[in-house]
Amino acid sequence: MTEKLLTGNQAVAQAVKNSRVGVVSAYPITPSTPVVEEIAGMVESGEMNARLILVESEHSAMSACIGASLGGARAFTATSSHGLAYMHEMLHYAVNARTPVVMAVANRAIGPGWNIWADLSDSMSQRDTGWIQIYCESNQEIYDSIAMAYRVAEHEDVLLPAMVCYDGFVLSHTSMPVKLDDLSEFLDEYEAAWRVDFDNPSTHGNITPPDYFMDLRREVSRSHERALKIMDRVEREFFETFSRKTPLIAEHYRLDDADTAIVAAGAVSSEAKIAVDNLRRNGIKVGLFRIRCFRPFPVRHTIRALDGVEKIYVFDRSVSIGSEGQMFQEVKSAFYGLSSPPEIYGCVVGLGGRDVTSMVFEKTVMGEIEPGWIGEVIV
Amino acid sequence: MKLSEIPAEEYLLEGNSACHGCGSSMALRTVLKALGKRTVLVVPASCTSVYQGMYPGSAIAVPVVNSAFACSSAVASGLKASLEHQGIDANVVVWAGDGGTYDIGLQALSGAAERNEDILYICYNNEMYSNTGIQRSSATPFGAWTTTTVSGKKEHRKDVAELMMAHGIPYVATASAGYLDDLYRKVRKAKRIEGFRYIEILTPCPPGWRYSMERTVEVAKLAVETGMWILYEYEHGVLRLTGVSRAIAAGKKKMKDVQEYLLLQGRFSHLSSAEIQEIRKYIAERWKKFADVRGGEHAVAAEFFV
Amino acid sequence: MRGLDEESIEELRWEIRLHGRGGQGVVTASKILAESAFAERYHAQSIPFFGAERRGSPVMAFTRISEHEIRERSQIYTPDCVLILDPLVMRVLDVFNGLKDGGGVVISTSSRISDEILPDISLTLVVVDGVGIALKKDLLVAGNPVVNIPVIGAFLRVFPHIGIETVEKVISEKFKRNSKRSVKALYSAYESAEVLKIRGKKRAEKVYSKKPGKIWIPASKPVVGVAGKTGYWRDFRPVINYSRCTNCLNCWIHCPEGSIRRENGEVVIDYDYCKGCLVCLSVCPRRAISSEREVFA
Repeated sequence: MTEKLLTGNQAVAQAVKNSRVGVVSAYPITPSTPVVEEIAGMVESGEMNARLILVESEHSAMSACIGASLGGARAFTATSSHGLAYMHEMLHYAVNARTPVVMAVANRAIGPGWNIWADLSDSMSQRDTGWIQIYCESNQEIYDSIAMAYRVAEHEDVLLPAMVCYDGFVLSHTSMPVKLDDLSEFLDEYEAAWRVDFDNPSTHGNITPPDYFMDLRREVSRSHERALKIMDRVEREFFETFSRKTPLIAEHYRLDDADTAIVAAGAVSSEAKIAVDNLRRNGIKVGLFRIRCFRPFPVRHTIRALDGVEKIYVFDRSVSIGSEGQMFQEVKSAFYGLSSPPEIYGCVVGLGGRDVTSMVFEKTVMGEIEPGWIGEVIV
Repeated sequence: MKLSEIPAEEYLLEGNSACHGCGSSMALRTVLKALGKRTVLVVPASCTSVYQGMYPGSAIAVPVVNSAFACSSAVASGLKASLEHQGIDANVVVWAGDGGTYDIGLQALSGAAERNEDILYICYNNEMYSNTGIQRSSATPFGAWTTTTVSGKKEHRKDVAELMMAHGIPYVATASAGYLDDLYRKVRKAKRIEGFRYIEILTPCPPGWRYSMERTVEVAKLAVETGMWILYEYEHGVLRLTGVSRAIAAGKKKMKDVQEYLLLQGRFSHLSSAEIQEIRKYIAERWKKFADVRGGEHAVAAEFFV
Repeated sequence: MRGLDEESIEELRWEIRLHGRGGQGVVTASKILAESAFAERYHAQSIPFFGAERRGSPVMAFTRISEHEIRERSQIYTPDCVLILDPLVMRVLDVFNGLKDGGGVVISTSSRISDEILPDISLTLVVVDGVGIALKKDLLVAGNPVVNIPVIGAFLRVFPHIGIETVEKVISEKFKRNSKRSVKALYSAYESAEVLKIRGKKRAEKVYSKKPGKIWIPASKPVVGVAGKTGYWRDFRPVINYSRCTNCLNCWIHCPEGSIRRENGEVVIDYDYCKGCLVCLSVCPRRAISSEREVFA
């Protein structure tokens, strides 16, 4: 096992190579472009044995991945922002088609007001497509998550595509040490559920009438429920294989005796940990519930982790316009109907790359900043 | 060729839900006979995605991957790369309508052609969006009625087969449901060529073109005989007219007046004589380009057969 | 049908279900009925049910007519009347499913209706030769007789709430200069339709049942007849005269359906699935194929 100083994008490329992906298809977009550049270099040098299809759009990139996955190969793509939005139709398609494609999403805002910087609105707004969504805090977590995502996505009880999301630039272009474990012990060869079989042909994805379609969707929904159980298992197996604790559903950080909790995902949650430590030093009983897996949303995990907490501050680096932050909605909804639920506040921070420091979390918990849209960068 | 040489095996099974006299299902039957068993069909939204039947049954007896409307070329690219990566030999074939080819699928088609993906792309052109109930496409000819061009389309159609030639791919051919032996021969040939291949088939549609269902073959033949549809092959940079088009170019067959073709179809019944004249002009200009400039010498010099 | 039997009319409300095949104008008929009812100052609703089929396969449509606002958006499961544009649909679907006791049935057919095929309820049966009228009045689309207007004409005989002149007006506005033949067919059907009262035993109402299904991969297996016995789509039957046939295979290669087989050196038509498009007839160089109007026993 080697350890290297890698950007988030490089960590993705290494994970894709070590996951023995067979077909990569992508279209460049900032800030995920370097993922494909790295992979192209490795394919050309022979370091990576894969077919690379450099398509003319993200819509085609996802389509090629779906075709590749149906053909029996492990498939991968990477994108951001407008590219992800352009794929939208095919994101739905990959789910009902049951193609366990894994995609890296370097999170970025959507224009106009062209903006290439970190913002989770791109992937958050795809939350209803049926993709598994995993959010990362560090480059090591990105590397681990790609392999874990294939394990979950390809599981016979799941068979769903998964996106591994990480903040653009903040992680995608920032170098950090990454342990490049040999993933072959952890990840088997891909066994496609549907096969191109000339002796026993079948037609994939033809018209499915009302008599069947709802059942098909019901199965997709059940697969999401099952995915959480599989994730639990994959998390444990990952630890057993590499002796490294990489949470897959959520991380509990100093929550044990907390009366106040911060809920966050992605790179900002790392800043939140600093805030928790500082506040703890001042005797404030605060902890962090870091959401790794946003889809399926871990309702039971959330309730269990935040049991006994009096106040919850949910920080979203995205917003559902006309409503609130998406995580805020989910957390509130998780506590619905419970007796004596905690007070839950929502904060929208860091849109379009506005920097998020630990101070924002501290001051919010201390009551010095009103929850809601928090625009100040507090240094 | 003798029709008895065409295999008896059926890969498009009877009892499907294609309309009476469907030109597209007629062509698909022949295409699948030419391609044989080791074929995967990629089908974007189109009439074929409907007439192949509903879950849990299918009318197509080779593996089929249905794709979204815009992306059949990309799905096929991924599928081919995937099979190749695993060492599986297969004809990966896109079977798309003119909507999925000329309009919404054009970008992905151009991309796959430029990358010279090893796939055969077949466009069955019924000159409109038949599946959604007869709306104009950019393959709809001038003057034709559709539900979105109620007084006739004001523009001439574009030509994607020509566009494919401009991509410099190894093989481009046009065919017609009126000449299935010619279609069979072209598909057999395309099957043996490596790289991106494009075949476009004119497939008349009785409900859309408003003619009586038993006349599909007659209409498809007349399109060629009147010069509205030109049969050719483009191989390694050389364009060669084939069949009746070639006979016309060689002066061995007289081109029929287009009115004969138009009068058969309700979609043209409203045309004024000026509009018919405009179609004649269009045919003459297009024919000149194909027969005289690009393919004339080859067409005339080569031996004649129909 | 309430109103038909001129019993007490408390709630003026009728639900009509239309069955036929694609291309016969089922949806248009449903619309014409709704528009005509609307013109008679009723609340009206027309719902097409689009299956994924093409011209020729079974389709359904629903018309609701009421004195009050119609809030339903669902299909009709317990109709007051069913209009059957094509008797062949009865072979693939239970067209009488949920029909109310005392309801109405309008069938377009040239043959007699046997009692066995009718449900065990009392009903008013209206029979009209829609195809015959369409052929006589030259009401054809893509070569197929259009029977929707004759069926409406027949229906009006037993439905006093819409005047035939109102329907004439609606048809004239809808089809503009092509409406003349339709109007003639409407009146011809109105006059020639046969009305019968049938008394049956009350039977238990069936409900639509949904097939249970667990879907894992949305993939389907190849099967002959995925759209059913498409032979029932036939209006005309091609018949091979083997004394003229040279086995040139033109009919075989051109059959869009693949319903002509090569068997022991001759071509054989599979009438189970032949849709009767008659392309084979048109491509036969020896005129060895003729057509007959289809009469399914």
